[in-house]
Amino acid sequence: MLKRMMIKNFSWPLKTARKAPEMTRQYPEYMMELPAAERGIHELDATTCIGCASCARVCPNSCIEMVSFKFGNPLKNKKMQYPRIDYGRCMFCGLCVDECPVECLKMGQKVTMAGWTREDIIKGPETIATKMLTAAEVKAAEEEAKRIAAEKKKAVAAAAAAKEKAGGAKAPAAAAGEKKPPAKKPAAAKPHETAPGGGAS
Amino acid sequence: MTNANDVLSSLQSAFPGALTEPKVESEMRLWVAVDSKKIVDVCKFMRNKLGFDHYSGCAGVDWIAKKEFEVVEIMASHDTSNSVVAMLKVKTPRDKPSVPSLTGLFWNANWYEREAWEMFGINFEGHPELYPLILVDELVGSWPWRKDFKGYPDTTTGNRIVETVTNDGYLEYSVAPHPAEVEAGTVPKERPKYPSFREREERDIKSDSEMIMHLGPQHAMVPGPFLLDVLVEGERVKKAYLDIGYIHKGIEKIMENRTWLQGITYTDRMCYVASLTNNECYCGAVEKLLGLEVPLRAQYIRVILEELSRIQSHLIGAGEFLTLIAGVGFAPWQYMIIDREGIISLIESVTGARLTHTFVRFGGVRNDLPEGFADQCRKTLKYTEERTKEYIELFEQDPIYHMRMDNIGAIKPEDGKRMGAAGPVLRATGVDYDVRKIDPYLIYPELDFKVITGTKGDSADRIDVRLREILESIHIIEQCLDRIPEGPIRTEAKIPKKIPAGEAYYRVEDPRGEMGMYVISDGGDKPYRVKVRGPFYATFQTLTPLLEGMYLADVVATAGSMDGCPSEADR
Amino acid sequence: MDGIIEAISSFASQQPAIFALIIGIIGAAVIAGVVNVGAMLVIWGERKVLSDFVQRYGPNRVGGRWGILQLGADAVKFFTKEDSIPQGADRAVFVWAPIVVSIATMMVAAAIPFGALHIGGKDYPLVVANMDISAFYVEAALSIMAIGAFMAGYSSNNKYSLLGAFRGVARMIAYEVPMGVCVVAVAVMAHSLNLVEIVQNQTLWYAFAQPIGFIIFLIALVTDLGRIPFDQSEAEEEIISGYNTEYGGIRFGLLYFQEYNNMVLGSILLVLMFLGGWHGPIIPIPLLDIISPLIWLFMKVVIVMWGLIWIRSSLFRLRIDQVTDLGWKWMLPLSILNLGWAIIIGSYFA
Repeated sequence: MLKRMMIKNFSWPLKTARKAPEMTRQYPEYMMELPAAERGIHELDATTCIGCASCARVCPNSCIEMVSFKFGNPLKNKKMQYPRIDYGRCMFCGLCVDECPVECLKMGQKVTMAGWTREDIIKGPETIATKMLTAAEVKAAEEEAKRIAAEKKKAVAAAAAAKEKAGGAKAPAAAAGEKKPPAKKPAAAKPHETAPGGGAS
Repeated sequence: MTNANDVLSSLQSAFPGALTEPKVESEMRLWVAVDSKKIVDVCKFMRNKLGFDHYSGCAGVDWIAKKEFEVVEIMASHDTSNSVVAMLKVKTPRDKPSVPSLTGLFWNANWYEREAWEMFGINFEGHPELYPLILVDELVGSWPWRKDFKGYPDTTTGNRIVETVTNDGYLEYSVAPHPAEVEAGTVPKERPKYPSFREREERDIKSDSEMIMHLGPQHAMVPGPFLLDVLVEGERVKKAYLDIGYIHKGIEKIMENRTWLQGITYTDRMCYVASLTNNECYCGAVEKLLGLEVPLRAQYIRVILEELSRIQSHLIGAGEFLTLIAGVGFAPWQYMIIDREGIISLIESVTGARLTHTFVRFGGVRNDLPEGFADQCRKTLKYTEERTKEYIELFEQDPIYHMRMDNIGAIKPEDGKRMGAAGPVLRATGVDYDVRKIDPYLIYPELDFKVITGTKGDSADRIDVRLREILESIHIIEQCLDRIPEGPIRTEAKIPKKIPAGEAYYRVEDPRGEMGMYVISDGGDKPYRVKVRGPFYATFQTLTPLLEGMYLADVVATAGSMDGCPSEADR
Repeated sequence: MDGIIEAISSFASQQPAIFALIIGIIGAAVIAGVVNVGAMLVIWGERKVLSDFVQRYGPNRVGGRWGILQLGADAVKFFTKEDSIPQGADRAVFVWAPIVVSIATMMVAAAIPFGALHIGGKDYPLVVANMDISAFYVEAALSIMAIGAFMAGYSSNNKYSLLGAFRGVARMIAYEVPMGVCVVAVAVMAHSLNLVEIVQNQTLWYAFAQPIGFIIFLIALVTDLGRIPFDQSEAEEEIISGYNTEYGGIRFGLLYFQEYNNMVLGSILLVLMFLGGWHGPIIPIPLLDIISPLIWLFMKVVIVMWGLIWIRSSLFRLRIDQVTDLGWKWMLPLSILNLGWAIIIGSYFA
C-alpha cells in the first residue's frame, strides 16, 4: 500500500500546467505545416496532360470526369480533354496520381475547401490547373498541330505511292503497312500497367 | 514443427475417401475439400489429435457457375510449434445449401456461421441461434452476397416510410416494398421467420426488478456503434446481448466490383485506426497469388510504418479506454493524444495522409521515406518511449486504478483460446500467440523482439500489455532504421491487370490481433471473393459471457479494455 | 456618510422587524446575483484550469483572448433551447427538481458569511442571516441538492437517470454522516456552531489542529459536490449524463449552474471551518484595509477550488460500491476518532 501513493497522479498534471500547449494550433489563423508528401487538392499541369483518362478509369469512386478545357495543349492532348474532379466524392487516395503516365496530376498541400452547394466543390481544370497556356499559345500550338498533321499525311501518301510503284508482290505488305499507322500513336502514352517507379508523389 | 504434408497424410489415413482435391501450397498452407457429412468428425480429429484448436473463421463462397456453395473453414493452432493453416472446403448444392455446424466443437464458430447464413442463405444444421447478425431485419432473406443478388430496395424516393405503433406505445418505422420491386427480385418473397432481437431479450426478463439497459449504438462508451444490452437488476448485470452491424459498409461485396488496385482503398476503411496492416494483409495475399517478390527496402519501409501504426493504435486503445473510467478531463489520456500526434505526423510525412493511408502497393510501397526521416523518427521515438514508461509507472502506483481494474473481466488462458480471443486480449491471459513469430512475414524473422504476455488476463493486464507492446515496437523500429538498405521501393516486374486464377490466405498481426484475408481470383481484373477475418470480430464474441455477474461500471471497464474497432468487425 | 449611517441605525432600532426584512430581501437579491455570476466565473475557471493541466487552450475566442464571455454565450444558448419533457415523465416532479436544487443553493447562500469588512479594528461579517447554528444549517442545506438530483432522476422515465438517481442517494447517505461528525468536531473546538464565531475563534487553523477531520471533510465535500472521483451519479461513460439526461435548455442550465454554485459555497464552508476563514494580515493601504479580509477569503477559496479541479484532472472514478465502502468503513470510524481527538484537544485549547 505504501508504494502506491498516487503521487505521480498529482505531480504530472502540475508539471504540465507550466508548459504552453505545443500540439494545439489556433486554426484558422495558423495553418499546420504539411509535409511534401501530403495528399491534398490536386494540381494539374495542363501543358503536359495527354487526356488519356487513366485517372478517371482508376478512381474508385468515379470522381473524375474528362471535360474540355480551352487553355490546354493541343499538341499533346488531341481531344483537349482534362480532368474535372468532384471533391464531394474524392477520398484523396492518390491512385489517380499514381496512374498518370506523364505525371501531370499531382496532389498539393491545400487541404481546405468550402462551398455552399454540392456543385461548388466540383472543381474543373480551370481551378486545379497550375500551368496552362495562354490563348495565343494555344492558337500557336493548334497551328503547329495542324502543320504536323498535314506533313504526316503527305508523308503517308508519299510512302503509299512509293510502295505501289514497287509492285504487286508487295501489295499484302502495303495493306499491312497501311494498317500499322494507328499503332504508332501510343508512343505518347506509356502503357499504364507498369506503375511508374520511384517516389512519385 | 508440424508440416502441412504430415497433416494431410494423417487426415487421409484417418478419413479415407472423405477428402478430395488436396493441395499443399507450402509448408504452412493446406487446402483440401472435405465431404460435408464428415466435416464435424474431421475437425474433431484435427482438434484433438493434431492440435488445431484455433478456429479462425469460415468463409462462404458462391460458385454460381458450378451451381454450388462452398464453406471454407479456416483452422489454425495456438500452439507455437504448429503454424499450419488448413483450409477445409465443404461443398453444398446451390438450391438447398446446408452444412453441419461446428458450434458443438468450437464455441466461437457461432458468429461466422450466422454471417454465412444471413449473407448467402447457407443453413447450418445444429446451430443454436441462427439469427441475423449484421443485416437489418428487412434485408434478411435477400441473401446479399450471392452473385445473382439484384440490389437492395431503393428507399430514397418518395415518402415510403410507414409508421406503426407497437404494443408498448412506441413508434416503429418500416418500408413497404413496391410490387415492382418484388417483381424485380430486390425484395425477398419469403422472409425467414425468427424472433427479433428485442423479443429474444425480453424472453429472459424474469421479474419486475430487472430491466434492460442499452449501452447501445449511440453511447459515450463505444468507439464505434454496436448494440450492447444488459439485463440488470439494480447495478448487477445478469445477462448481456450483443448486436453488431451498425456500421456495415459491405466492403467484401464492394471489392468484388472494383479492380484489384482500387480494392486497396477499401481495405483502409475497415479499421481506420490501423489501416496500414489492413493494406498489408490484402497486398500480401495478392502478392502470393502473383508470386511476387517484394524488394528488401520496401519490406523494411512496410515494417517501419506498420510498427508506427501499431504504436499509435495502442495509444488510442489505452487512452480512449482511460476516459471510460475517468472522465474526459483526465490528464494522461490527453497526453497520449499529444504523443500520438507526433507519430501520426511521422507517418504523414511518408504516406501523405493521417488516417487512411492507401500506402502499400502490390510489390512494394507508394512513396519512399523522405529526407531526414530517420533522425526525426528517432527523436520522436525517444520521446514516446519516455512517456510510455511514465504511463506504465503511473498506472502501477495508482490505487484507485487497481481498485477499478484488477480482476475485472479476467479471462483464463484456456477460455481465451476456446472463445477465440485475439491480440492483446489473448496475450494478456498468458498465451504467447503472435503472428509475427508464428507465421512470420516480411522481415520479421530477422528482427529481435519479444512477445509480450500478461499474467491474469484482467483489464489492467490488457492495458499493460498494450503499453509494453509500444516499447517493443519502438525497439523493432530502431533495429529497422539501423539496417534499412538502399534499393528500389517497388518491384520491377509488371503487375498485370488480370491476376491469374487461384486463391491465397495471408495473415498479419494487426494491433488488435490476427487478421487474415482469403482472396479468390478467377482470372479476371476484379477479385472473385475477398473474405476478411478480422481480429475484433473474434474478440467481440467473448464479451457476452464475460459480462455476467458484474457491476454496470465494470461493464464499461471490460468492454472498453478490449480496444474495439466495431468498424472492423462489421466491415 | 455619517448622517446616512445614523439614519439607518435609528431606523433599525425603531423598526427591527421591517429592517431585517428589507436587509434580507436586498441581501438575497445581491447574493443570488453574486453567487450566480460567481458560478459562471467558476465554470470558466474550471475550463481554463483543466485545459492548463492537459496542454489545451480552453475557451479563448469569446470575449477576447481569455474567453471570459464564453459562459455568457453558453447561458444564451441554454435560454434559447427547446424545452422538452419526456413522454411518460412525472411532470410536476420533473419541473420542480431544478427549482428544488436552486432553493437549496440559495438557502445555503443565505447563511454563509462571505467575508468581513475590517472597519476600525473590528471585523464586521458580511452575512445575510446570522444564525446561531449556521454551521449545521449550511451543511444540511448543502445536501438538499441531492434530493433535487434524486427528483430529477426519478421523474425522467429513463433508465439512465434512474440509475444516476439511485447512485446519488447512496452516495449522499454514506457521506452525510462523516461530514456531520466533522462539523460537530469543529464546533466542539470552537465552542459554537455559528460560522462567524468559528472563524473568529480560530487562532490555530483547524486544518492543523484536526488534520484527519480536514481530510475527511475535504473528501466528503468532493463527494457531496459530485465531482470526480465521486461523480458516479452522472458518470458520462456509463449512464450518459445520469440524473440530468433528459434535461435540456434552461432546466439543464439551472442544474448545471447550481452544481457549480454548490462548489463555490462548499469551498467557502471548508475555508471558513478549517482554513481560518478571513483571517490574515491586514493590508496597510487605506481603502484595501477595509476589504482585506474579503481578499484573504477570496484567495483561499480560489486555492481550494483550484485544488478541486486539480483532483478532477488526476484521478480515476470509483465504482459506486467502492464509494459506499469507503464512506461506511473508513470515513465514519475515522471521523468519530477525530471527534474524540477534538474533544480532548479542544478542552486543552479552552
